[in-house]
Order: sequence, then structure tokens, then C-alpha cells
Amino acid sequence: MKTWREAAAILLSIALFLGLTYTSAWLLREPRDNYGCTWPRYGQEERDSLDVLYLGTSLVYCDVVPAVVWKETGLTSYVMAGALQSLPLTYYYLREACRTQSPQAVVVELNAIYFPRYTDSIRTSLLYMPWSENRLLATFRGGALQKDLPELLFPLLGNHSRVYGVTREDVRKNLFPQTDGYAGYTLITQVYDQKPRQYDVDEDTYAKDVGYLRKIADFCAQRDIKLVFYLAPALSPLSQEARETIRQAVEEVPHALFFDCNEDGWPDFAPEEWFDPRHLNLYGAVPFSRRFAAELGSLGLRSRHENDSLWQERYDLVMDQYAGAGA
Amino acid sequence: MNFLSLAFLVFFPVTLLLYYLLPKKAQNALLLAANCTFYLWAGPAAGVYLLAAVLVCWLCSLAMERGERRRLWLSVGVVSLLGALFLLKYLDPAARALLALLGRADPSPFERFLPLGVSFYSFSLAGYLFDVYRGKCGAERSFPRFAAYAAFFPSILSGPINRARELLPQLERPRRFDLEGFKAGLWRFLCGAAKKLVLANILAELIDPAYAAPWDYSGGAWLLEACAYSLYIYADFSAYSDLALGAARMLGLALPENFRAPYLSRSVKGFWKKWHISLTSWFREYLYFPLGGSRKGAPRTYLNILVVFAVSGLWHGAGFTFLVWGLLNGLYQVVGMWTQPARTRLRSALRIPEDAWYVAAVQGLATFGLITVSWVFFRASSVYEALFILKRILLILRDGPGLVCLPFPARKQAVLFLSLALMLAEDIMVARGRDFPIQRTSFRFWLSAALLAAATLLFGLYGPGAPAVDFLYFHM
Repeated sequence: MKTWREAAAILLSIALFLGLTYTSAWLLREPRDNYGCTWPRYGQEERDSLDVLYLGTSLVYCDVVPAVVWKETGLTSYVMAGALQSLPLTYYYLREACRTQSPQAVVVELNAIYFPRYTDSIRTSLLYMPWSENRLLATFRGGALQKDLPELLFPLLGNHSRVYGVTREDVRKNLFPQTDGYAGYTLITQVYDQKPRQYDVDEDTYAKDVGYLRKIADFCAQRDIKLVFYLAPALSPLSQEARETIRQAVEEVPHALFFDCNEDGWPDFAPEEWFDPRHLNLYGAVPFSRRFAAELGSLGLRSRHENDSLWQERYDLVMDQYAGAGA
Repeated sequence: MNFLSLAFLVFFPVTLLLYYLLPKKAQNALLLAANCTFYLWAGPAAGVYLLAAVLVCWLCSLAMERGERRRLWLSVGVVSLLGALFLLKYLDPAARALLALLGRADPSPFERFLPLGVSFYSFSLAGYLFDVYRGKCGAERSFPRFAAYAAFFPSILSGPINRARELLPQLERPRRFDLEGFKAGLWRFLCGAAKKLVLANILAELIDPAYAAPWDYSGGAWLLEACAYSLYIYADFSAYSDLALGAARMLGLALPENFRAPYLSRSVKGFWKKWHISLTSWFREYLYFPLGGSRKGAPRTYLNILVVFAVSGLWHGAGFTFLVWGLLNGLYQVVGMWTQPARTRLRSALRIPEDAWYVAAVQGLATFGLITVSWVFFRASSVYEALFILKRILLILRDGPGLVCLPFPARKQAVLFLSLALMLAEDIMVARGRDFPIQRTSFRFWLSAALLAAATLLFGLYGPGAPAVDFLYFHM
């Protein structure tokens, strides 16, 4: 009897300890919704209300404006990209995102196949992901460094120091996240630096991650989701050779479409429409999204949803910024 | 390996599990393996030195046990241990000081190599040799058991300084899992972690900037900083002792207490009976008594006290500040003993009862003040800097306190004061002779432990951006 009581007390105290520490870590988290930390507000989207999901790196959340796509096609969509999001992380993001949504199409930007596989940005993205099998798999299979594992598995180790500075507003935002007016898009209006530069191409990442193209395709095929891979427009794009390698890799993936926005037929952007040689600012993102919407429309997708007021608000918000920034 | 590292949080539960699951005969072998893992975590060089020290000590003790040339083997062992310790600690600083005196900017020809915990285990081993020589304990014939004692991982880095005659008999008996003992150890360990991560580290955040730029602080600010350092060094060092005693207790072994509410003492002499007890008692037994103790008249007693505290100062570090710190504490006691009759007569004449609360309060505050002054020398980078700080504090009487502020947000101040209140409450209980406070019923105990652990992780300062989290006495 005494042993059972002791065992029950131990189990209860472990539960209490874990409950307190994980809840504290969640409440102390910096409430972010930009630069790819989209999960808290994505969770506020009405279940099965999205037609299209966009995944990939900052080249997606800076370039694609879901509200503009909606205006052009009536398709509701959300950007679930993350800074330097690697393909393994994209795969697990997709699986997790599809737990609450059943999109008709998934659009994945592929520059990341040549980016470093694991960076501090991915650590941040993982920390904002909901706790699930997908988060754990992304942590262990996404190449997380051993030094980051304690924090990724026990986030209080990383953000406990905020206990002395966290505001009520931060806690409120964590407790009651609002829907995102930009649907995952990160609004940038500045022109930062347009000097063309050559980015490092990480062949090692390509070799490790090319298999994830097939995994993403298999997942989409199981759910009857149309899959589009693309390469975002850039003043300093990947080399022709690297882009060709990606094209050939995608051709081996069944049922996947591919387009390279650096080829003829895609708009050229004026200098003031770039933030830097790879990212569009709002002036570029709006026309790009219109063109992108036309491409999606050609896939034969039809909106299944009628939450027009929310999407009109989102569109108005973006266009207010667009007009304001232009002024 | 630091007790408060993630590596230890994996290492220790695994060690505990194997320790109690494997056959009892394998316990000491496992303990030895755990000692090696724990110590070699920092690198192999220190491990080689430790092995050599343990081996020399063991061989010398066996040679003494044979009964021939006992004094010679004692000398060989003690001179090897303490001589090597002396060279490790002082050769490099002495060379630097000499070069500075000669006005030469050359680097010291000796590379500084100070294995972690060397001051502690050298004294522990030397104490063992003295005990074997005096017949207070027999020489341990089993090398694995001797090494399990000598390199006992909970205490090797910062004490308590183990006595072989207390620990070796415990290692001869098989240790069975005792739930109540385990809970007591776990609670002690958690209290130590809280004391270090929350209280000591917040205080360190207050103190470190002041000593980095002493000239920028007013007299009032220095008074606050000096008092904060007194509290910090106690919180930091007693936290380590709590962790060591707690870990040992979970392994079914008892280590000597190292602190008994020292800041509630009414005299400096009383303070030194309750502060770093394992070191103080080592000095008393192996240095003060052999020098003659208090049996050779007052002047010789005073001299012996000053010698012991000077050596204690040098044990703490290679610098004049440590020597001054030691001598100052010795001087306090000499003056205290010298003026004792006069003070007693004065109290009688004024009819002030010895045990009145206000007498205790004044004596307690005076003791804290005197000890705090000595800690200024202990912490300062030079005697000149310490004197500057004390001068600033004294000038409060003339110029006022100046700008004094606690540079923390309100929430951190609240946590600091609550932690201080809890440490004081614990000390009052200990001073009244009660056990280390612990919840008795299962549910209360485990829930308290969970709450304490969660609160420590939440309010503690650790990780990137936190002040240096090493224990202060790691560097002795």
C-alpha cells in the first residue's frame, strides 16, 4: 500500500513538474508571428478552410501574399514557410499543417535544397512548432545540433530568463493568439541592398535532402493534394547548373509540377521592388502574387470556402499598406 | 563535470540505477568508475595527476602500516602531496610576481596547471596519512576502495574535505536502497541547486559589475555590494555542499556537514566553527594542535591562530589579498580573545545580560560586519582595490551614502529577497538544532520537490547570458 502511494506521489509530482515547466516555457515564449514563426496564429485558422499551403524559406514568406492570391482566384491560402526552412523541416511542417487543414494544393519553394541544412533559424522555427510526433521527428531527422537538443526538447532552458521581463501583453498573446491578417506573409516595405552576390551552394545538403522531394510527393499523393515545386525569382538566383539539377530531380517525382520564376514569361522586377537580391518587398510581392495566382488558377483549383469577409479584410490590410508605403 | 550541468543530470541517475541494481559487491567498483567518468570529463591531464596523488598516498599508507620508518613514509606522502599542491598553486604566480619586481614583461616560464579540486583532495589525502600515522585509522588495503574514497565524485571538486576514517568504513559496508535517505538526499540536492542557480547567481549579477569597475560606485553602493558578496559566497559555497551532501546521501553515504548557519554567529570565533567546517577542523587537527594549540600560553596561542589563518588564506589562493584575508580573520580572533575578559567585566558592570536578544543582535551584526570587511579582501583583485573600497564605505560617515540602487527589475528583486528570506529561515532552523527542513509525508515531499525543481528552472539564472555559473570554490 505504502509503495503504491509513493509511486503515485512520484508520478503526480513528475506530471506537475512537466506541466509547470512546459506551460511556463509556452507562456514565456516571445510572441512572434513573422519571419516564419507562424504556428500559433495558423492554429487560429478555421479547420479545413485553406485551399493552398505555401512552404519553403523566407523566399516564400517575403514573396507570396495570400490575400492577393485570394483576390485573383478566390483561393484561400497560407504561408507556412520559415527562415532557411530545410526540406526535412518543410516535410514535417506539411504533415503538421495538414492535421488541421486539407489543402487542394501545396506549393514548395526549392532553393533550400542548397541552403545549409540546420541553422539557428531552424531552431527558432522548431521552437514555435506545436508539440507532436512531427516536431520530434523534425528535431531528430532535421539535423538539429546536439548542443541545441536540450532546449528543443525542454524549451524552458532557452527562455526562462524572460521570466524577469515578460509583459502581460506577451502572456496574453501566447494564451490567446489572434488570426494573422497577413496569413503568414511577412510584410517588408524597405529597400535594403540590391547588390548582386553569389550565395553558397551546399552540395552536401542537396545529397542529403533530395529524397525529401519524394517524401513530400508521396504524402501529397496519399491525400490527393496537387503538388507544385518552384524556384522563387531572384536578382542573384542559383546558378543555371544548380537550377537544372533541381528541375531534373523534380522530373523524377511523379505528379509534381515545377516552375522556375527566373525564366522568361515571369515578370522582371524594378529595383524598388526588391528588399535584397533574393527577397521581394511589398511592391514586388503584390505583382508577383498576382502572377503566381494566375499560375495556380491554371491548375484547375476551385475555392471551396466562403469566408469572404475575413479574406476581404486581409486583402484590404495588405493593400492599405501597399498604398501607404507607396505614398 | 558540474553538478548543475545536463551531463550530470544524465550521469547521476544512470549511476544511481546501476549502483542499486548491480550486486552489492560491485558497488565500490561502480563508484570508482563513476568517479573516473565524473573527473575525466574535464580532460585527462587532471585525471593523471589525481591518479598519481592517490597512488602515492595509498603506497605510503601501506608502507606506514608495515611499521618501519613510519615517519619517513609520512613525510614522503605529505611532502609529495602538499609540496606538489604548493608548486601547482604558487610557482606560476610567484614567477610572475618576481618578473614584475624585476620590471620584466616576459611571460612566466611555468604553465599554470591547477587540476580541479586539487586543494580539496590533497588535504583529504594528507589527513588520511596523518590518521594512519597516528593510528586513528588503519591503512586501506584495497586500492579500488581507497580510490573510491579518495576521488569520491560528490565532494572531489569543492569538498567537504572527507576524512578517511569516516568515509572508508561506510564503503566497506554494502549500501541498500533506503527511500527515506534517498528523499533526504534529493531534497538537499534540490535546495542546493535552488540556492546556487537562483540566489547565488542573482547576487553574482549584482556583484560582478561592481568589482569590474570599483571606481564608479559610491560608498553606499559599496556597502550594499560588500554585504551582497558576503551573502553570495555563502549561498554559492553552501549550495555546493548541499549538492555534494545530497548526492552522497542518495548513494547511501554520509559526508560531514560543512556549514551550520555561520552568519548567525555572535563572534568571529563562532563563525569559524560553522563556516567551511571540514577545512577548519582539518587545520585545527593537523596544524593548530601540532603547533601547540592553546596549551602553551596566550602569546603562543595567538601566534598559532595567526599561522593557521595565514596558511588558510594561502590555501584559498595565490595572492596577497588571500593572505590579508586570512590574517585579518586570525587577528579578529586574537583581538577577540585578548579583549574577552574586559568585555565580560564591562557587561557585568553595566548589568547587561549575556543572553539578551539585543546583545545577540549587536554581536551578530558586528560579526557579520567584520567578516564582510574580510571578504572585501578575498574578492578584490588587489589589496589596494580592497582598501579603496573600504575607504569609500567609511567615507559614508562624512559624505553620505551617494547613489545606491539595486539594478534589477521589481520581479527579480522580489525573487532575490524571497530567496534570502528562505535561506535565513533555513539557517534559523539549523541554528536551533533542527534537521535540514524536509516534508515528511510522501505526497507533500514529492510535490514540494516538483515545485522546487520547477521554480529553480524558472527563476534561476543559467545558460547563455547568465553570469558565470561555475562554483566559486572550483577555482581554489
